[in-house]
Amino acid sequence: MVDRCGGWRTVLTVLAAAAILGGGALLRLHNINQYGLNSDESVYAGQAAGLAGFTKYSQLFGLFRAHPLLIQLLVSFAYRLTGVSGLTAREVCVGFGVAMILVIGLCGLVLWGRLASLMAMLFVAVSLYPIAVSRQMLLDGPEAFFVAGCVLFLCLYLTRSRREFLWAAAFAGGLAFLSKESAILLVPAVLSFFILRPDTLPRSRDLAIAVGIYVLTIAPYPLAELGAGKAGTGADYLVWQVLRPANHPLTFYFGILGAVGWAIVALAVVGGIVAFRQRSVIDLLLLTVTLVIFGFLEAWPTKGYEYLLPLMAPIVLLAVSGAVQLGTAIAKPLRRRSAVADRSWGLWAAAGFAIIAVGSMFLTANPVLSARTGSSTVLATDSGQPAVARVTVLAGSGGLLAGRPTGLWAKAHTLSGSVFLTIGPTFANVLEFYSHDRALALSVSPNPLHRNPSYSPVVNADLLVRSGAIQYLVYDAYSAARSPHFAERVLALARKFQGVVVYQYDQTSSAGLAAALVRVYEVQP
Amino acid sequence: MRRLVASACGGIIAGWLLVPTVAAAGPSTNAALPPPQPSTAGPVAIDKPAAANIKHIFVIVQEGHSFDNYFGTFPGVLGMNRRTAVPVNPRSVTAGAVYPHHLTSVRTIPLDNSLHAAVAALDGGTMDGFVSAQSAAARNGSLSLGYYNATNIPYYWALARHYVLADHFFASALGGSTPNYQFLVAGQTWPTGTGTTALTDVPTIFNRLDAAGVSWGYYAATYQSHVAGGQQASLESQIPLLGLSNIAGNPQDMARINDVSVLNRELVDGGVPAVSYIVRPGQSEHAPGNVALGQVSTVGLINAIIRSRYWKSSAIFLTWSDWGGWYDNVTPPRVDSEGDGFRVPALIISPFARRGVVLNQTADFSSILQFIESIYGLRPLTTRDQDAATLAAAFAFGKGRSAVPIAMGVLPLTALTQGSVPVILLVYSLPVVGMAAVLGFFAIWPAAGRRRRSGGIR
Repeated sequence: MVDRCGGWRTVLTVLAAAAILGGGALLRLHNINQYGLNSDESVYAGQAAGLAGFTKYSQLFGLFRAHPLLIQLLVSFAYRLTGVSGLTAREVCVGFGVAMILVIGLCGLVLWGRLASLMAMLFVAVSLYPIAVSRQMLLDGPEAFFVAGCVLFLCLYLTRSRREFLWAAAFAGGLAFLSKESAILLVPAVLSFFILRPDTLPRSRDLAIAVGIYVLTIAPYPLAELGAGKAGTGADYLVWQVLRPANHPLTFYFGILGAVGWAIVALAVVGGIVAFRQRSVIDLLLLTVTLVIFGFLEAWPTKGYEYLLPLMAPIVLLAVSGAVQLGTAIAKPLRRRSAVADRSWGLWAAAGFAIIAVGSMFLTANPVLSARTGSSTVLATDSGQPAVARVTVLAGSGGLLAGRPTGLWAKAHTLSGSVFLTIGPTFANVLEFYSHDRALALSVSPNPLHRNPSYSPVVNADLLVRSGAIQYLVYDAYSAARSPHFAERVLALARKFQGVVVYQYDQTSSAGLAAALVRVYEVQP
Repeated sequence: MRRLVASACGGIIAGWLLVPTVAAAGPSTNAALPPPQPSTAGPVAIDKPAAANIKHIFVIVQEGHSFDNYFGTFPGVLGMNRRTAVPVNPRSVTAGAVYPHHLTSVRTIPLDNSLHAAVAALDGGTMDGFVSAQSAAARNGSLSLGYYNATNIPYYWALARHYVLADHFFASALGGSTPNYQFLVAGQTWPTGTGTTALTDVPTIFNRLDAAGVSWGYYAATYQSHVAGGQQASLESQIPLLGLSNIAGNPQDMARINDVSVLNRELVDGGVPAVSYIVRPGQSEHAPGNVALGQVSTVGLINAIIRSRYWKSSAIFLTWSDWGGWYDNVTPPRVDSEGDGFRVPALIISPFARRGVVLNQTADFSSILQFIESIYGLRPLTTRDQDAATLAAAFAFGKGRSAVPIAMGVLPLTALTQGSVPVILLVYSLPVVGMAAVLGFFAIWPAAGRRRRSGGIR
């Protein structure tokens, strides 16, 4: 009888987990191809295409930029089967996003059981933040998946005391690094945990093996750069990242917590407080990882919308912990008979909190999704002459509304080998991915300390147009809003060289006014 | 005044025709040839393959360079012998000689390209008066033996490699640009002086096109139709139509004369006429003009045509109005009292042009008129275009090929990194294989986990 009940519970759990995974996948795939790739996506997808042997892309997107190439390599395998497309790249990342739901669910299963596992999966599946980031061809989604894997193996190591799990955690942490180098933050986070709980330190030999596995796993990043004679690339990026001015205020990441879900964050805070008070091993691990990584990102001058995604696993697990704690506290007065009944009441109360949390997220879904995952929203542009538009700009927040159409137009209507000049590198990257032509960006600084090392500055745009090296000037409202100065310079060049508008992408506002989001001018020397 | 100009021209030409008395052979036998006569022939037979494929003709004219000056060292052409010197004084063997030499500067002082200098350079057909002709005009005589090559004018050389370069193509008139611009539109010359004398009435190819209902346009850099009623003294040479009553007196025809920027717009927006003449599309290459900048504006226009919707039905003739005072080693044929002049570069660019061919057909500007007439079945203008050599050998219809624009400018392209791909695949293979192994372990882990579950750290 007991076995039969257990069997049914297993079947129901599996069915519920499958439903959550399916729902999570649907949310991530819904309208995934509505907008084209954004700037970062274009770079990563272009690198993947170059790795897959599509030489046009390797000429446009240097393989050695800021980040390791594991994810680009995996996407390149898909490209060899399907050909190059933005959709394929995004689908690979969605795969990682859905897998992250499963891994975080396994963490919940290991730590608290089936109901907590489903709760954790539900949180990740419907939280708008991981949905928004996992839908894009960004490295942060796969990085977050491997970080979740590392957390899972650490939990298993701490609960089962098996050294193999420690080694697996080292391997997963290494893969997270190979996805995106910012995952190196796992190292100080885990070290801090071991310092706080020295009783959990593994034996020296096991620890040495784990360190060896980690070093071996991350070795391809420097080895590939050394092998290709690009040893200085990583250092160049580090210098630039450290010296560049902050791109967002200190409150930036707190704003993102709204996309994670205020209810989830509130539960995580409860879980964190309880963890701090009780100092149980697992809760302390989750709290340490969260605080160390979040603290570093907060201090780092370069902030990005997607950078918090690797924290989804510890935050969600802390939220589940908080829900369980709250549920248990509420269930206490209701205790009637046995401890088993008490535990059951507590979990069901926690499930109630989970439902309330998920419900609260749906109430805020539309505004959050439209602001974070859609294209930059152009609120006003001049319908006659291009003018600086007010746009919602958020680093890594999604596709450019007119980027893909402009790139595809360029591919279809301009000759191969044409050269474009854009206002900034954001639009240049998108244009290069879709058009297969070279796009230079006017706003790239000639000072190597003030520019992304991947980009080449345009020292004398006037000369390049006069010498026939540039045939097209591109004005886009998105970049114009960020760099009015360089937008005016592009328009001045168009006027000087009697640029002829050969392409225009219009957006009709709610007031019915057509506004030019993108204008491409053909110029003659 | 017109009579004065005409008599002056006649006197110079007569002087040139008398020069052969110095030379032992050559042009002296053609001294009595008449000027081009109006043609009485019927319409030129339509070249059906060409007419079926060519719907847009572009005649682009730059200024002031001989064939040897631009392409004398191009492989496979009848070029200059760099070991053959031109005497400083043809009458004195002790005065020394000047050898052809490569010019390192893309700007030089101007040379004398007048009829007088041309006659002296021709020296009765011996072609040894180029240095002395310039010295006589107080110019740097040795400079005339200078030449450019791919290092100075790479885009022109690239066009020559991709399309057709004619190495027997002569300016129609011996002398400067003014008579040659006239030949380009009318197959003959007439006295100039527009603005000070009455307009002349000479039939041009455009009158023929008007009569046949074929659209045309004439484009010149910096042309402003609103200045002085559309007649700008500085552009009279390049736009001989401004001195003709049958064009200048017709507002509809005057509306067809525009700045080059209008053509750029038409190439994008549509409305390019069937026949377009573009003179000096940007920077003039006539010394002291910068030849590097001149080629950029010219090739930029050609690239714009190649990029446009009109390319698939286009034929572009790129040539230079006159010799510019520069040396050329081939004695021009005497077809009438006007010329031919010295060889000038000519490139034929079209999707139907034969690939990388040097055309040896002897031709001149009249051959371009003849080509236009053969497309639309027009009557020849003068005996020049009536008897002109056809340029059909430059084309191979039925073998249309894709556009080959000329890449211009030096760009900081991302270094090719394709060679790094094997390195990346090699070093990243270990974690990829390891990942597959962990996934495999995961598949069997639940069973193993149930068997070995034990208490952990609390």
